[in-house]
Amino acid sequence: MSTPQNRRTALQAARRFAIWLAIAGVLAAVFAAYLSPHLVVDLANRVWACF
Amino acid sequence: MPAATPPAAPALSMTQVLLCGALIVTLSMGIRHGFGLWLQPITMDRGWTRETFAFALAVQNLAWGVAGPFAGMLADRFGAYRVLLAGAVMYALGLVLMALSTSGLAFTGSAGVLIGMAQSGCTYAVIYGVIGRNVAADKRSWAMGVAAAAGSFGQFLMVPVESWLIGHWGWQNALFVLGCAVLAILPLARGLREPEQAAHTGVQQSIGQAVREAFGYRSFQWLMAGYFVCGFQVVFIGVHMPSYLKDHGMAPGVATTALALIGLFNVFGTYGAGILGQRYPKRYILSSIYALRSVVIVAFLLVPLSPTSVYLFSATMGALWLSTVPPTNAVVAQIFGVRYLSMLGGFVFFSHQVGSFLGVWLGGKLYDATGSYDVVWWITVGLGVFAALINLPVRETPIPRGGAALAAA
Repeated sequence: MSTPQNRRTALQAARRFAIWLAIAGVLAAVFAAYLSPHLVVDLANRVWACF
Repeated sequence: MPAATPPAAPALSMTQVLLCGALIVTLSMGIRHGFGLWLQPITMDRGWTRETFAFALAVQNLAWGVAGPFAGMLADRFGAYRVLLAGAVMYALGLVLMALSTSGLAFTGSAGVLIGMAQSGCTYAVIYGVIGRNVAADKRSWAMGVAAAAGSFGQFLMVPVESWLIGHWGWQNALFVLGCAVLAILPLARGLREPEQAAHTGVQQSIGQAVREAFGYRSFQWLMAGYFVCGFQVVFIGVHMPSYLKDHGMAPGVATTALALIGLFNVFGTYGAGILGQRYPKRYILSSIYALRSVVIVAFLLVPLSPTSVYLFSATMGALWLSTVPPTNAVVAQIFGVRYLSMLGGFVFFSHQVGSFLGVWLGGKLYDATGSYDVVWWITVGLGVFAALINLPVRETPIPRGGAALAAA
């Protein structure tokens, strides 16, 4: 049976899940940015040029 | 003899402190992390040598370390809010002057001294002081982990962002944009403004008494020695690994992916270290981090070099990268209390920066002398073992104050 207490707990769990999902999404997007061909070439040129 | 006062109730909510503190370190740690991307365009445009650029960044790291204890002292005495305001303005000014500098001296003054000092005012030590005073002790390590993870995320995020800015808007405009962006610290700092009494809670000591007490305490000396090793290892690997990979015939894309993996796993590592700090003795966490670093480096050196070994090394080193930050600062708070946490955190960080400087300098020096990085890699392994051992006897209990303190130290 759904009680206010159960609903609150479920809401909290859903909120926590949504936060972690958003964090994972942002991290994946930034990681993907590193792997884009343009950035790989640009970064590699800059990093390599230092030596 | 310092007098103890009962700890006051937190003046700011934990959510507010974490949100504002995390956003501030995301900006302050992130912006500086991609400065290497300006090497090529600035040196080509201004006709400078790479030494001019590298010298300014070396000065920046040292200025950050030297100014750290003073910024911490000011934050502990006058409140983090004022120091953050001054730090943000100096940071913005430094970025603008960095774009406008036409001589090596002016560039060293802006990108080096000014930005280095600005960083000391808006990075971990100052933010951790506010966290220490406003987050309950049983959640402090986790909260420090959240802030450290935010700084790690800033580093991870800003490299592609800054590369995009330089590519689309030119290197000078990119610096102007960042100069405006860093001013976002000003409104965020309001969220860390503590009432006057709240900033002065804890033991009643003078700054001099607190410094003498900390430097005379063996555990503080051990923590400083450990953090020195952290700086040495991390900066040596960060700066010299691309060159090491190039020497061994790796494709440029391998180094880029390695940087991305270090950045990504650094976020998880710092957050994880904060959580572990809530459950286990922090000295064991620190000792394990340093020992694991040595194990990972030895494995990397012994296994034949390939893209896979580089990626595995980068991911594991990334997880161990800034993970020393939350437990080290949490132990300082546990031993000495939160009254002078920013200043003492600044002193520990100074030791980190000396290690960083030596890691970069010795890496280059020994490479020139021996023609390979082998010697420095093994020094890094040895230092890791040393740091693992030296953290084991650290006492995490509050320092016994008064006559007993000297005996215990």
